[in-house]
Amino acid sequence: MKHISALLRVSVFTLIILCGACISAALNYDEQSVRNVELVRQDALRLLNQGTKPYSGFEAEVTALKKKIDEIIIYESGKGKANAPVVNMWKAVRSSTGNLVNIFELWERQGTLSQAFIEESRPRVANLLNSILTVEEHKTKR
Amino acid sequence: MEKFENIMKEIRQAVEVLAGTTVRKYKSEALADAKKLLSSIQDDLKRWTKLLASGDITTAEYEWLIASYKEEAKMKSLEKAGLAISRIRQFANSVLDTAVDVVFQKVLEKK
Repeated sequence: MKHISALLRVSVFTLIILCGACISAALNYDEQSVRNVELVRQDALRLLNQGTKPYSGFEAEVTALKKKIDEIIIYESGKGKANAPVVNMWKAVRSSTGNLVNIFELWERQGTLSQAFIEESRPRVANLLNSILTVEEHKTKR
Repeated sequence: MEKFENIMKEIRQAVEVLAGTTVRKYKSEALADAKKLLSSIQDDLKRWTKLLASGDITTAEYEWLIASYKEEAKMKSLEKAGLAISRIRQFANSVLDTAVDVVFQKVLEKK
């Protein structure tokens, strides 16, 4: 009887530790995720500031930024279902009308962007990316 | 350019018609939400409309700016969901810490 009771205690303890580890994997503060948002924001705003110049001169950099966002989506998806809001935010940044990458598609279509649009869209882009940063910064630090 | 107040008046009338045809059952709530939304974006809308009328921005750029509001609403709701999951996780962690404390206390008590 003593044996069974001890075994039960060890099992409960192991289960508690394992559950904690499962939840932790998806929702721990991740320096890389925070850095990713900051890098994308920095690159996006730098490229946007070049918007009055022809798109053709910046195509390679825009393609690199899109690739970086695709890699981030894969990285964040690897954290599991609990990270779905962050994954969906990155997907919106990548593909939704009125979000970040859509500006570069507009730049490509028009050839150039107007100065007034660049000034008006800059705070909008920063706002959109800040939502991701807010979630990342609120994750638990170990 | 036509007076912005007239443009806003026309937008409000169009929204009322839209609410009457699409969300008839909840028309008054929908109109209240629409009024709140329009008043929160009014300053930006006025500035962007002026820029469009003066030719400083293109129609596609104007459309992007308006669409960015829809995106902001989507991003904000995902942000709320993300924060809620983090809070639940923090609570779960506290529960697990408490459970470990209790188990240790009981195990050590027996020794």
